[in-house]
Amino acid sequence: MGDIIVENLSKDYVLKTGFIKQLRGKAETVSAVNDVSLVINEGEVLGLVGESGCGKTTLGKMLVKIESASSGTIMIGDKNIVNIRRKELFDFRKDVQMIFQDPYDSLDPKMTVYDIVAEPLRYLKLAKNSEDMIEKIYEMLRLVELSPPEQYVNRYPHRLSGGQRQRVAIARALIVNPKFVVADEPVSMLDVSIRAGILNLLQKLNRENGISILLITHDLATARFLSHRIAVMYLGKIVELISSNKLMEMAVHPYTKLLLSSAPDLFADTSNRIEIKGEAASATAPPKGCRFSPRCNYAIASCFEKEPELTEIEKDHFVACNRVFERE
Amino acid sequence: MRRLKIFITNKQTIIGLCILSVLLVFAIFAPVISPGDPLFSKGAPIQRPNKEHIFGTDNMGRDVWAMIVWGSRISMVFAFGAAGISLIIGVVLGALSGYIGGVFDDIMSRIFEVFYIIPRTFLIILMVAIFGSSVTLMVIIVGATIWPSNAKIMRAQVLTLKSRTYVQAAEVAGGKRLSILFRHVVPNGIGPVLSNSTLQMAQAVLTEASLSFLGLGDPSVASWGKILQAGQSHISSAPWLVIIPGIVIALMLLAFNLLGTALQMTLNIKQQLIE
Repeated sequence: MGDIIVENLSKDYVLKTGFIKQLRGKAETVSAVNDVSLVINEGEVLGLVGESGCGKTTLGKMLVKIESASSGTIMIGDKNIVNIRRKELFDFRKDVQMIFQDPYDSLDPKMTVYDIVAEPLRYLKLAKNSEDMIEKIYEMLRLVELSPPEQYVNRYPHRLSGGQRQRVAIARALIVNPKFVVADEPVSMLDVSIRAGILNLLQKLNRENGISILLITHDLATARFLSHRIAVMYLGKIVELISSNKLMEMAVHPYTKLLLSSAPDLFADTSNRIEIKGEAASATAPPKGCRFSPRCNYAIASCFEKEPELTEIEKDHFVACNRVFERE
Repeated sequence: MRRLKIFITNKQTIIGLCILSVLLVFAIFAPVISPGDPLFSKGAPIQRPNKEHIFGTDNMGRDVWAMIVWGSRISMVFAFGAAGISLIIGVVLGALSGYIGGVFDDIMSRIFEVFYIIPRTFLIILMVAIFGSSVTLMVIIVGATIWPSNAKIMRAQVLTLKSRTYVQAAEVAGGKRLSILFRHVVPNGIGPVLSNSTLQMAQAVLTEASLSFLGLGDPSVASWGKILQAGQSHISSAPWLVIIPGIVIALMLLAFNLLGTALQMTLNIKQQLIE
């Protein structure tokens, strides 16, 4: 399938406002994702990290085409999937799948595990006959470690634990043999004790089946465990892109450093923890200049005026900060 | 499935189902229980309830028991026919309206409101005057005028359900919008509509009784309203002609209402309690 190349992708939501305001053209927009460019290499796990509301889920949903892009392109191979046609969408779904955040909401409560996992096969007409379908489903349930499958196929979601549900959701995403999976906070709703199991499963799928994964998470530890590279997002923009083994030492963007310093660590020295100023700015009225400037400890006058570009400061390390060179 | 168990073991459900099953047996086995045409005179008019005619006879010598038994057929046809038509129209239009949204939803909602304010009895009287009285016609008219409440409930359900994650998941799985609507959204939201439907069954039965009482019923069939109409002018001399069909109609409405309430209660039980 090749790399996935995202260029200048934006998503604006128009807020519902009063009739008069709309007439006067004053409808407010929220820019959830703003001018994002990044590449997801074939066979790679890319971590997308950021706080709630920074647009990471919106970005993920645009990549699987359940949210339309306002502008920009998403190239998969030689196809731009932003304006993909209905017929091509059918093939696209066989290659690109998504695992959702909340396993308590992503499974239809009126359907059995069998029907849930069978759904993509039925919609995309991927099973030759009913025996083939049963075989595929059993094999997939074994792969996601729900075995013996006979014990699970006739259950309804309410008779499964959170971890089991997420495994069913993963099975549903993987049954079509996708080449790229967007995993939107796959473990954030699960008990800590079962997170590792799900993460190991995703890692195994990446290593053994070569599936590319976009791992959306707000947890740096999860991202570092699974990802090859990590993209840090703030208010709809990517502020830093770095390989995950360099993250701890080499990260330079003030926001990335803030995230690293606020991750709880039993043995860390808390005296030099970075203090946060204020709250994340509203996406309806993003700050002028650098979007992080109002909270940044290093901000100077020009940061409030000039929007920084994402630039490569060393090999495979991109930062969007006006002061990245002078601050050293 | 625990929900079903809770519903079935509910006292209200049991009482409602008992009444309805008796009436259903009447409706299905009417020719066995009371052979012969119920509209034929079976003896002297205005007989008190006695051994031969346990509910007495009306002013034309027709056996009231036979009319009650045969009348339950018409009531059942009205209840299930009209509520069924209303359920289908209401679910389809309400679901589409809520799911598609936008201008389409605005237009559909206005259409629901227009149908809401049509004076049903007046419309039926008009149609009966034009086309003559027949059960089929009246069932269709009742069904085609009571659906807006179903449509509005379905629309509201769809509005809350369409943003659920499993709907998005079905989209990623390759589902077309319409099949997602009827496979995932409608089955999860139809509960309150079904509960409303049982109340509509009661409404349909009552409409039939009032029309027959007004003399607008289908002249070729026996119905409970017709006994009431016959008893109307003999209310002081032969009160059983009014009391007996009155009680039967009331019992049927009670049964539907009990089922409706029980259904609603079952649906309202918190999800957690069941899981």
